[in-house]
Amino acid sequence: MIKDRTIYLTFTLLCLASYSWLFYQLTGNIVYSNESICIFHNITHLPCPSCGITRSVIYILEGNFSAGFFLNPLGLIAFLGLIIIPIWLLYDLLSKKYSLALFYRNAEKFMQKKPVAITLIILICANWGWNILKCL
Amino acid sequence: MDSQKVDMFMMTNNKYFESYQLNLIRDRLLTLDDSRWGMIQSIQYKDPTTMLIVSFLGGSLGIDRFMIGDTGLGVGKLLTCGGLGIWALIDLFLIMGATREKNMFMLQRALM
Repeated sequence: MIKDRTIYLTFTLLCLASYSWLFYQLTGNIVYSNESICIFHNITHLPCPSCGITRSVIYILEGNFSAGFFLNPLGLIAFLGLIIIPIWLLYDLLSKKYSLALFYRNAEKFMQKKPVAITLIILICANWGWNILKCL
Repeated sequence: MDSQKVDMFMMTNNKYFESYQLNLIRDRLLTLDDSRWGMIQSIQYKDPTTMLIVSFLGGSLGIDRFMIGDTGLGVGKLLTCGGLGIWALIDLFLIMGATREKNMFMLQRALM
């Protein structure tokens, strides 16, 4: 069983890393160049399932929701997560509850059910295929 | 349980657990009823070395985390390109320990 402390540490680090990465991309203006730090992309020259999420989130931040969605639908999920999770972390910190850890465990259990897992795998693979077709 | 059986179990399965857990497992098995032997024997443990290879090949897609059952962390790795490659690199060192902890969890569940 994964510990509560690990869950909170992972979420905090992920949020910090995502925000600093977004900030770096927004100020550095290298988003639209062909350089990539994705290992998978550099080795195979194919986009990975999550390629384009940064660009998608930046489109959404500019208010262009449909462009963001069509670039990579996962960007919408990432955007929502980036808004909700820091608030949730703060709420848990201030109220000394463990609601995020509880939610994480329940979500994990839900995703491990066979029908849900198969649906999610098919969706991710379909999105990956779309990414390859779009040549992200 | 018979100490010979327990020692045989320990010999065949010691690579699946952390070294500090081995004595604990041995003591626990010695006090266990003989009728549970079949169930204890039939658990399929994940091999830490295999997981290391999986982590090396598919770590940036989170496949290693999915395989040991950490679905949430797997989704996190998948959506962030293996945590920008950094998380995938760190997991190369963590995954063997994580696999052993998962094996211990499986055994504990069977012992209860």
